Amino acid sequence: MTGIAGRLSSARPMTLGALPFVALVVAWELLARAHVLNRVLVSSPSLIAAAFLKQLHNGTIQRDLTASAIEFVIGFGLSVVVGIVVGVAMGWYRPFSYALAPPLWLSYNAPFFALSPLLVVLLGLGTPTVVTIVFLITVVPIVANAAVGVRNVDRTLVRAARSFGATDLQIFRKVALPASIPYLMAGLRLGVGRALIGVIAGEFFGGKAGLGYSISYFAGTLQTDNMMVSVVITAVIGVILTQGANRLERWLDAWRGWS
Amino acid sequence: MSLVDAAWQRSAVRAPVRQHAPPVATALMAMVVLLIAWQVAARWGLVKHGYLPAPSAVAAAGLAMIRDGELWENAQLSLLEFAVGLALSIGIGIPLGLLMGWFRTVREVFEPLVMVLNAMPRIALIPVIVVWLGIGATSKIAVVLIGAVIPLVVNGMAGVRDADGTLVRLARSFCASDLQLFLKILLPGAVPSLLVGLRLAIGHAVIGVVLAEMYASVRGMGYLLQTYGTNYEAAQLFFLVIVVSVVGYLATACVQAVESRVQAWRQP
Repeated sequence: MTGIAGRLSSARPMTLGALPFVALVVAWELLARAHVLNRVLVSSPSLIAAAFLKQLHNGTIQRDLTASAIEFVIGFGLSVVVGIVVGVAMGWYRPFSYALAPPLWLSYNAPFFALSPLLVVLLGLGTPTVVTIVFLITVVPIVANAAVGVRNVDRTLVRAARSFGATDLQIFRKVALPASIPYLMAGLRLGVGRALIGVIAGEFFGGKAGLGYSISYFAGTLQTDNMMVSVVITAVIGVILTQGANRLERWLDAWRGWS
Repeated sequence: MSLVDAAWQRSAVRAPVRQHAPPVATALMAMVVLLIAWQVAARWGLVKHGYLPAPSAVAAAGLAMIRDGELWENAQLSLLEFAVGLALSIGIGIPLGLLMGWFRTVREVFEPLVMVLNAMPRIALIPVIVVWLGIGATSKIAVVLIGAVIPLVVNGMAGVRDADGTLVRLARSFCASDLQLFLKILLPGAVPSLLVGLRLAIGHAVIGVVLAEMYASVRGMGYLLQTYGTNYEAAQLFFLVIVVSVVGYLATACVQAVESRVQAWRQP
């Protein structure tokens, strides 16, 4: 056993890490086949695979991905722009930060999803409502982290730049921005996670298409095979986006090094 | 609630008021200005009255809900689901996280699964859990558990792995047993990271309990939010949103107060 493990040491983490997934799939399939688990309620890996192929064929997956992607991109994009502008302003001008801090801290745990009935009436069902919910819950960590990042910029560097006649814009571009990038990126990483939650939960209550809408719709009509397809796709999207954010963070760290 | 109140007073009201009066004054002034502007805008019909109720209407609706016991009756259930789910998350998440940090094999087995659950929006599992476990309190506790356990595992693991190597070697040189090493070096070293995990876990637990109740239930804060929302009773809805936000903030502030104490204790 140790000999094999030693020889395959580079493959070991991969193999071991796949164990829970394989065990889960095999046990689930066997228990469902043996009718220990109710297949109508819990589905089974083979049924999910069949439903996946069917959804791919009739375009449900493509339609859901497009709808959710549009909501994610607009909602997250707005949060990034507004969040960084407001956060930098809060970091730079203290009174602004004192005034905005209480509503910001309250917003961290605010159940904005509950506003969806009002938003649906004001803005219409679907994309506008979901985008608003995504924006409301995503902008908070981005603002908070941008503010902390700018506040922690080394004041000596700012004074030095000023002494050498740097303009405000130059100070922002050459000193404040590179110095606060680790914080900005931490905010964006948290923002990606919250935006995903916003898209899925927003579609539960105010959507008319998308992954969250499909999960909720298929659950409501007890089509558990189709429901699990949307859940698995959501998980895969989550992993891809998180990995992407981590890559971007490393890349920006490198840019910071030679900027 | 007394614990919440005590920590809140210590951390946020007493000390900072004495040291930084201007920030609190600015914050209060901004709040007052905002409330007055909101009230005036709602009164003069600058915003459609039904959708943005005036602060006075929100306060009146809130008082009525407090007086007839509707708020407490539903808040009780949500708080119970929140507490049980969070306690289970702590009981499972912290030991698993510490084990994953300590034993390479445990880490290699569970890390990919934890990473997938960490990266995905776990609230996507709410409909699945409701289908499997029904619309009662069990499904809400399960939603809180799946939401809150992951940050605790991730931060528990990180806390042990980031332990100071010099301290570990020092303890080994003085013939510390595995248990001693764990209790004296690794566990205290992981506390700050575990507290960060707990803070994140509370956030996920609050969102989880409210969303799960909004999705399917017959009682609880989420149920109230969903009912008043779909009836377009905006004053009640805004009041409930504020209540949940404040409770979530207080729970987070408690952990933050402990965090700053631990920080002060570690760097004398």
